[in-house]
Amino acid sequence: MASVPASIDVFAAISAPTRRAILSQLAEKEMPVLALAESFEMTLPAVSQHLAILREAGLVKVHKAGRQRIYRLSPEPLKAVSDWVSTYEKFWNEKLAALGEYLEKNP
Amino acid sequence: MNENVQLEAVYPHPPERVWEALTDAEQLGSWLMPTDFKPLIGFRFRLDQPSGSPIEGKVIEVEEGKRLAYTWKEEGEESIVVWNLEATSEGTRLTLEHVPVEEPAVTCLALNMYFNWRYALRRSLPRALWRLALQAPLVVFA
Repeated sequence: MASVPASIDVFAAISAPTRRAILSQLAEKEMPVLALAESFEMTLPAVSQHLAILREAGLVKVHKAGRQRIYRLSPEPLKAVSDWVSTYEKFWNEKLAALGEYLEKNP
Repeated sequence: MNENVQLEAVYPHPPERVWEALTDAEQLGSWLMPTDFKPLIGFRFRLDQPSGSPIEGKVIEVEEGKRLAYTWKEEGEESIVVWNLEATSEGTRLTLEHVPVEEPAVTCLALNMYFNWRYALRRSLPRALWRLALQAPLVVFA
């Protein structure tokens, strides 16, 4: 079957509900770390740690504006997740059909 | 849209028959891929694809006639395949879940991760994110 995209870090990054919430927030608008921390009632180090994981997965990008670090969503890697799912969905749909045919011929 | 593969099929055959087709190497060869599979916890098997390197797996759960789970390592990426069989008036309802794991690991760690994943993957991403993902330029993953 087709090669599987290297997206495991993306899966890991989006497995935590907090990080999903951060992504969701950033989907609406870009935000500085401090505002994110306030909005989630988290400490700066805690929110920074989540942002580091999201950055590593390529799900957020950061730029500096004066003394602030502004985070924004970078949704492209999510495509890897949907590719992974659709590759295996197609594969297994075919195999489940093949299993049905096999059982019909070999009850 | 989902983040894991979750499929269901109903077959007009009893669960015992479907279980055989899912666990007997010869029968698997007829509908899935040639394999040396055995339904024994810890058993390492391979599935020979028509092209490319074989898929490597390890059995992690066997509940005869009801539930089967194994790891699925393809091109260095490990995921977990879980089958559930349920008797219905029509025959058997077979459900399949295929979920990713973070890193190549098996035994207890894999099981723990598997359950974490199951928990995590039940919560779907906000729709807004998916919309954005779909609007994003196509990224090619080697």
